[in-house]
Amino acid sequence: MTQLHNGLSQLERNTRELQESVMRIRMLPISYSFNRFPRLVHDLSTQLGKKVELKLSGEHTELDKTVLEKMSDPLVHLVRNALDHGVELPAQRVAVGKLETGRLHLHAFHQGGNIIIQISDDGAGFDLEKIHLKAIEKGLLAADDHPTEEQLYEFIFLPGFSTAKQVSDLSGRGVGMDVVRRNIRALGGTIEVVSRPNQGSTFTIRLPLTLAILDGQLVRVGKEIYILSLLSIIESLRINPDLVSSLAGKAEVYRLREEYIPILRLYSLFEITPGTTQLDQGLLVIVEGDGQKIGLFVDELLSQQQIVIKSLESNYQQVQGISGATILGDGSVALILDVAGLIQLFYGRTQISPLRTHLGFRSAS
Amino acid sequence: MNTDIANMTNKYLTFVLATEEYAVDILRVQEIKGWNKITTIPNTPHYICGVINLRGTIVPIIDLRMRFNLERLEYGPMTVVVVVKVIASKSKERTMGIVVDAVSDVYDVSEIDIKPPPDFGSFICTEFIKGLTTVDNKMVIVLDIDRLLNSNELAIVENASEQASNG
Repeated sequence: MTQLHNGLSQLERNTRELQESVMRIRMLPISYSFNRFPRLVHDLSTQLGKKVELKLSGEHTELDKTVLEKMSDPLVHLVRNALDHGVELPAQRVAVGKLETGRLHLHAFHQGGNIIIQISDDGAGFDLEKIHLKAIEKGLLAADDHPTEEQLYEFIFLPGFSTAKQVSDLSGRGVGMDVVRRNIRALGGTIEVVSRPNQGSTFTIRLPLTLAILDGQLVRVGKEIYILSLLSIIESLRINPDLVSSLAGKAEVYRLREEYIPILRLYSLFEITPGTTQLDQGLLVIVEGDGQKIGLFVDELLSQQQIVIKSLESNYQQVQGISGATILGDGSVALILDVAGLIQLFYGRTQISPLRTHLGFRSAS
Repeated sequence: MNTDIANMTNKYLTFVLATEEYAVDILRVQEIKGWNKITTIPNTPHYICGVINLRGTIVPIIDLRMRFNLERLEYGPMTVVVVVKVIASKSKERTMGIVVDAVSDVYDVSEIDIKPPPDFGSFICTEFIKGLTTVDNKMVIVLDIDRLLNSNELAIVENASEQASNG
């Protein structure tokens, strides 16, 4: 018996070592992808008659080889866009009091369990007014809708949406940004854009470190077992009912020290039978996704383990709030929760605005 | 020569669903297995039972009874899952399982014996039916598995984004 035990732990050590070295081989610095940009920017800016200074930073940030390969096309697209639409011609720049030479900055860094790639330019920025008008013209918005800035930026990512007056060699065809986002989403990442008129725009891409393996926390809701990425979990706690208050009768919030955190009852979002609906009998897992915190109400926490991520899409399709699946020790399938997706789904449920139905939230129903 | 092609027979696997017998091209059938524990996927149409682990791949399971709006049958040891290969667009292949009442038989059916389904107008949707055929004086419904399992909510992601832009 002890011999078996020794053998098993030896095997465990060896497999772990093997796994670690394989992971190390898979990781490559992002400079592999960044290195082509000086040339690209140089060629394009000459072609467009623009002056652009390219700055690269964080080239040593490592990410998974497969992610790197799949990111190179979206990155090229974003850089082309920034040069074509973002940075203005030297004369225009001088006219608005900016330096003749535009700046384009590619920056990569780690944050939490993610790799962040930022592409920022100091060009004209997005013309929100134009996006708004175009959306009305396309029938995506009613003329009297008052969308927020974020909702307007969403339109950039819709297929067939372009505000460019003319189609150029480079861009303005309205295809592209939707593909960029689809590619990034397929990798389990997100893309956001922030833009200021005449000060430029910044695209922020958030990607998971690796596609293959995840440190997971198993949680139980009713009979179902779900997996949360350990990196997305901030803390787990027993709920003190005195600290729960409700907002406009719709949403519940929990006061955690200085913060109010919305409570997402996982069973009600997923329409399953829970072990308990009493907040003080379950656990609240505080998770973070897309820069927002939310408390997931679950029955209990189970074990932590490293899990191999399997795709749901290869045979089925993407499901909002679920980033993939894995196979547990007993051979059953457990779904991996996508915190950012859950938060979106949750807010979509609690405050259904007419705009959201346009933006592809239908897949959630 | 033409008659040869017309007389060419294909093998079809048939299964029973309520009182009817349905047929699928046997070359599309990967395996037939019993009912196992399934993991449900939240917020999906009611006819999608969930996913199973098929030797390391995640395979979605569709309840054909629910898909055809028939009465639900409790799953038990006799429930059968037919695992089929579906050709999605752009020569992408997907593996899916369908839950049926029982597997029936394998028949040789020649292409010319498959008659187009009669037009029921909008009363009955014949979209997923490739045709009808007769075996031993019984009517067998030949299913178009690609259309059935690629329709609407099962459509692959590319279509989903197209719909979003149209909507």
